[in-house]
Amino acid sequence: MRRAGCLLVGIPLAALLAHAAAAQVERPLLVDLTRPNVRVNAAFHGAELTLFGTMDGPGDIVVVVVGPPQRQSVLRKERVMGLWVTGARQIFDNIPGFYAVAASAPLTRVLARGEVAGETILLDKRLQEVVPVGGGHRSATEMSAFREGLRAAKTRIGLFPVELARVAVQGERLFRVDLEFPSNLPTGTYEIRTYQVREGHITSTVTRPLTVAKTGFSARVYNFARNEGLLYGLFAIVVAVFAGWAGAAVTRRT
Amino acid sequence: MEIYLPIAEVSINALLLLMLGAIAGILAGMFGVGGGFLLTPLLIFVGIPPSVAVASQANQVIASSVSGFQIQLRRGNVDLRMGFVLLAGGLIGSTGGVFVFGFLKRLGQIDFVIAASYVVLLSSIGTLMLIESWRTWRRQRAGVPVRRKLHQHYLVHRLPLKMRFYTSRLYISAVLPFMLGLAIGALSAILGVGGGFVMVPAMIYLLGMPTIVTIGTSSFHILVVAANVTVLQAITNQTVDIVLAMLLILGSVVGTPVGTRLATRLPGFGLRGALAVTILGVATELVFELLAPPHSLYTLGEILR
Repeated sequence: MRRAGCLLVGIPLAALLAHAAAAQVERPLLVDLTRPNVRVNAAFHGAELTLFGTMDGPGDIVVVVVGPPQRQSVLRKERVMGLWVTGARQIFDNIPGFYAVAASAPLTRVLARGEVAGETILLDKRLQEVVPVGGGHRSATEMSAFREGLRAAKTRIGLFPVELARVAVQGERLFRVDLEFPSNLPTGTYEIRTYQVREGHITSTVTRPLTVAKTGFSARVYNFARNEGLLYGLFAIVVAVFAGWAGAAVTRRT
Repeated sequence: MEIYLPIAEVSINALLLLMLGAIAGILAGMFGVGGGFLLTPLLIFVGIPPSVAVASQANQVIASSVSGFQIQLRRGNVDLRMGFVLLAGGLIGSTGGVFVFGFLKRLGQIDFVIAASYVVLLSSIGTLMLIESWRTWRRQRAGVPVRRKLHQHYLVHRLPLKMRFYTSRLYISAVLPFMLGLAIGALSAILGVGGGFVMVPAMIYLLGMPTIVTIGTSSFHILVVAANVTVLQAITNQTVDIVLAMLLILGSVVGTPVGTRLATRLPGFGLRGALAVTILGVATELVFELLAPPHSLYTLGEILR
């Protein structure tokens, strides 16, 4: 009876171990972040996160950081009577709020065979998924000029950094990369995809979310202004009246 | 000391903002007008989005006009009757202005309109001040006493709807103060300025009000109009950054007495001349930005959530 009990426990345990071993083979890539979120508080002036993990054997690591999709307008300046004024305007949807790629070797070498089918790694490919809203009257060259303008403008303000950082690999097993984010980071849910690439093929992928959210005082002020516009405005008036009156009273006494 | 502004969504040096507030305060102390007309372009220079700069500036104007108003009210130098006629126009003008502001913002034209309006405003005021201070300097050197007519007849005496303004000792048409209030209100909403630097001269030369009641009466008008602009901007465009406004207010409270002391030590025409040059400098910089070919033709507009 007791032996039978041992057997009963033993069989599922062996099966479980075998399953775990199989999982180990299926998921040879383990990735974690030093923090699961970025807090945008009153002292926020950009953030730095470290992504680290292990892989099985040789290969390169590519890390892609994608910000939340946004709908934004792109404005073109035009010269009217000698003055540069805002002329045409084109709205685009599904623009990544932030996009950066880090790799353990130059991307031209890692992805020597070009972009992997079914995956989006390079910014160029991601930008193909950006869709114009309206603007059907524009010629193809005009529309692509707007797209290029969007890319250049986002690069200028640091939201499409050309190369984020180099992934450091130790003994074909351990890797880490410091991810730097600018202070004008859009809030929302980010996706951090880590790829292990061997000879131009992706051998495994791990995706982790990253939340960028306003917290504390900043979040309270922002939500107050968004949700209770009238009350916020009245509050701003009361604060200003009090500050002006108190300030005058203090300076008169001194 | 970097601070993240929750509505402007930029991280900026808090000391820099305090300093800008102090500059506005010094100007207010020296000339009796709020320094809003210089503060808004300076805020844009340091990287605050123009729409947030304008709306938060309106909030700062409230604080700077409160103290002036209460002092003048206690001294009986506020013509409330005139103030209400001005306000009738001011509330209509500023409400319309806020909606025009929102419309231009959606079109992506607000930055250009703000810059262009500032060029017109600053260059005309700077030139007028420069001429005035140069004349004063010349007159002082020649030793000719200033002579002014005791009573003049202006355009206001020919328009209908005449009203008696006892504090100002005037019997004039209500149409002109109403129109003046309307114009200043619209200016206040679109540029975030109080408008004292336009309003006080207009009250003296256009309406013929005694100089002594102009500061208090314009403060009253500016206070209520700025409050109206703050609430409307908060509701419709959500661009009032209370953290930014508080830093500016703090700076201006410290700067105002410094300006008052400076004004008593330095000769008036020299002071006004220096301010005129500063104003013209800012205007020139803005003109250059409109005339010079931009670094890139394409810029980002609004994020539409």
